[in-house]
Amino acid sequence: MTTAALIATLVKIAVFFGITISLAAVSTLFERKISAWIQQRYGPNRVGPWGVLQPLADGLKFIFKEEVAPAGANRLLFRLAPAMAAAPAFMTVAVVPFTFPLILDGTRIPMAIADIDIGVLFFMAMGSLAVYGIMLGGWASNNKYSLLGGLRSSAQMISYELAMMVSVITVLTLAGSMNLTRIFEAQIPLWNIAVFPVGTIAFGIFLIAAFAETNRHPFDLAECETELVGGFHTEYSSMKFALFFLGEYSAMVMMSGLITTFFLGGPSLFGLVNGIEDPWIKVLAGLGVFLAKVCFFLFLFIWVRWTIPRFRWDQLMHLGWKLLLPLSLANLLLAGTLVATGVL
Amino acid sequence: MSFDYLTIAVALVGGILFVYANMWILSLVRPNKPSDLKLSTYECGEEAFSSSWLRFDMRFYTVALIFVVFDLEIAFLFPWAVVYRSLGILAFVEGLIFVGILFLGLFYVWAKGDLDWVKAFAKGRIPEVLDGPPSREVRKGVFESGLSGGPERNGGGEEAGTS
Repeated sequence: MTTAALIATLVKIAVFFGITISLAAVSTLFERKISAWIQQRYGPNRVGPWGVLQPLADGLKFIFKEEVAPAGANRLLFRLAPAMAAAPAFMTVAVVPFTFPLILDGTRIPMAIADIDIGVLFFMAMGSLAVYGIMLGGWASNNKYSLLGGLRSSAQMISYELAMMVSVITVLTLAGSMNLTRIFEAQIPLWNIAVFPVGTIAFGIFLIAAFAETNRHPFDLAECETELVGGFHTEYSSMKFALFFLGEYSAMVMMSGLITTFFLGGPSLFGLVNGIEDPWIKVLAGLGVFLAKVCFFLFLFIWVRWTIPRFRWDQLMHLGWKLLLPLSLANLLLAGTLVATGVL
Repeated sequence: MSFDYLTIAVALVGGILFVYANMWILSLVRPNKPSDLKLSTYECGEEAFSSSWLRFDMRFYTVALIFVVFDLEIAFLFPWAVVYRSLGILAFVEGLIFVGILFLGLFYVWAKGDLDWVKAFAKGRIPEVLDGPPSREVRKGVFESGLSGGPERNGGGEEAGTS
């Protein structure tokens, strides 16, 4: 058991971690390409054919640029902040099931790096940790813009975290487990998004909160170029800036993966993939379906960013506290009632 | 199962190492030529003035406090939700009471105006102008009600001065 399990885990870490990082890199290219298409211009097209080597060129530039820390900055926190912003997104990869469990000779190998029973709690904990990175970055920079950006971001992320938690709890009442593999397996007959009305409402709330948690438009008041220059990362350069950037895009990939797992049935596709006999083909097909859904949500993230204007600050707090939180609590009660009466 | 938790521990350590290795190893290949101008904070090209520890709005604290209360209470709902189906009607009634208390707390802070970013707007003491600059009447009204402009503050100052 141990040697085989060890090898399986190492392979899973390499593959899933590689997929996440590559998706994050590719989405930085597509962010610019799609923004260019939406604004009717070209976007990156000089580095390699069609600009596909742009992420690589960016990476090299990040590595060889000089790193500047402002004179009054708190050295320790200034270095800690990018790590705190990027690491949680990478760690979340550990619990996300990328495809169906592989069943070989009666042994079930779950296709998450660590198939733990508290997967949902682990994801929530890591999501909460990401707040610290941005807050510390803003605090340690000794810059007015950064401080304001960090404050805004922390208030925003904690406000939307509540609504997100409650909508996840709604999913838990439907699935009856905190194990992410079991959550998507419970949806093979019917995806949670199609469980009308509770699943649909929970999906909407989770999607909106996911935008706010990753500091994406229309909730990017932490960065807010027009008033705060760059917000919390104004003073960051070189690799530290790259880590903030990488953290944001990895968080986007992870959020897309979790939305897919919670509401869109993970790797299942109307029972088509589930019915495949050959274990390896089933696993690969499931991975393909999962990644297609993730790519759709990544596209949605980018699409919304270049289409919808930014919220005003008080509107943001209003939406989070006065609309999403009561709505999600009411939705939870509705889900409880429907489950207790045996409708669901 | 314990093997999975070991993997989680490895992922935690690995994630931190990956990030710090990136920052440290790659710092060996980049130039490092600091100068006074480079090390000053960025304020859109102007020379930086005053301390950057500015005073910020108290409402940030309020939001954080409300969050802590709700976060703790909602955390109790996780185990409830997982075993919900097997506990039956009892779990439903208890959940109803618990979420009812959560709602009560939410409506309390709502009614107290702590969910409004600008409390005075919510209480209607200052008319909220959404479209375009405030009209003459509105500005006059604000000035006379004495909440945004000088009169009340000045009045307060005078009182303090005379007493």
